[in-house]
Amino acid sequence: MQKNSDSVGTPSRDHIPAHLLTDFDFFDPPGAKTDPHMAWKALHDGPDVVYTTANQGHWIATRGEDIYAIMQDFETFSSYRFNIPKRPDSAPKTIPLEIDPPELNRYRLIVLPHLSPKALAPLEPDIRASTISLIETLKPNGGCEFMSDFAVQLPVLQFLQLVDLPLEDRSLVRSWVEAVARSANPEIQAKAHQDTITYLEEKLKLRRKHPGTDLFSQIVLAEASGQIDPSESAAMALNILFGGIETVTSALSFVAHFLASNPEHRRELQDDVSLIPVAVEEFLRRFSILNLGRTATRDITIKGAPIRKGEQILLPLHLHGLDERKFERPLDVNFHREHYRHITFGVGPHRCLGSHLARPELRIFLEEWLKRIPDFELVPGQAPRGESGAALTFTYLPLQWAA
Amino acid sequence: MKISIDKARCQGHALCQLAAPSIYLLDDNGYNSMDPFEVSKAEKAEALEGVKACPEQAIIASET
Repeated sequence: MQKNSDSVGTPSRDHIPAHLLTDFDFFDPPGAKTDPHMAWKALHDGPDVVYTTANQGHWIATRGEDIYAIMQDFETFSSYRFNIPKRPDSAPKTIPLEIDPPELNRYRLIVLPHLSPKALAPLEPDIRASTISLIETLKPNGGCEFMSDFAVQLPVLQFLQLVDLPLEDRSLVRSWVEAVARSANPEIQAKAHQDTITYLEEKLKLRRKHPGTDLFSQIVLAEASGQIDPSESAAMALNILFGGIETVTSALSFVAHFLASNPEHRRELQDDVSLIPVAVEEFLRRFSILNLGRTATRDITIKGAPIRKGEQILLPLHLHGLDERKFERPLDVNFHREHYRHITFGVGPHRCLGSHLARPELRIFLEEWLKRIPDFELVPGQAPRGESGAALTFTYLPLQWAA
Repeated sequence: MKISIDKARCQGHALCQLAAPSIYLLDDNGYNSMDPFEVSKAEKAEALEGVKACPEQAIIASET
């Protein structure tokens, strides 16, 4: 009998054992509105690798060991395509995220020297100044909606400076990032993607005439040396832009949410500020953010999951940090762990290019906020709103304090 | 103790330098491209902090 699962668009699932099947919708898992991480943690009650029929069907690796191994094995698990649902072949490549080694390095080398710890260190006074200024503006109000008043603002401010884009474009840029990160609708995603490309093409045209020292100028300078084709430059600028803006906002949301509800942890960091760098790592582990996809280049069985060539697998990087096989009592926030070897910035050839910017942003936030607003809490009766998608985050987080 | 870096595995996380700043140096791209080197007894504990911090397991310590 001909099954309708053989028709175009609905891949055959006959090879998948029934006990591995679920309908987990990663854009809207049960409970994510209250606590995005706990909504995902529920997957640890099931098999290590599962197949969900939601979002056109894909695998999910739920355990740290498999997420780690798959990220390292770029030959079996290509990052082209990393979007789930899979974008059509006609859609442009995201560069460098969708490029596999060895070509990958040619692209990364364009920006690596400008995103190294040494290159970014001189930006610290700037980051500190804008952090302090935002906090000082909010402090007399006795409260804020943390996301729109702070967490969205700070990374955009930093990032637009790094790529030398006008600050007045920040709402526009932010709205595209929002659509691409959390819209489950491929058409809305594609439109935001295209609008961003059009915008960036214009900006790159100006950089070609008058290159500066910003990151986007490095891309057009690399065109001259053949490191990148001019037709690829906007895609690379887009990847850098999205990477730099969305993630720090999400990370800030979880750190602020946690500290608002845990005065003893606030006190610990206030009493010993030398713990703050470690606290940054612990927060990155406990509240990791990204869901990244990979596409199998051959048939392979992992933990009894028969993954076929062309099928996609979702890697929830946050489940690595929440895995008790990797970390003792993983749900606890503990600034005295034996190690903090999280993979929040990824492992393997696609390690986050912006990690050396994200770390100081989070550290400086903790240093300056706790000094100025030592005590703050969630606003009773105004529940924060969590979201899942390509990135976990709170999108609404009202806080209050004694002004 | 001898420390060697698996340069093919290093991805520029820079956590070795954060954990053990007096032991590990990064190149201009932010990668550890150090050739194998000896650490003294006094430096051993710090060097091992760097080994522990590396998410890629790219730093290998061996007793000589």
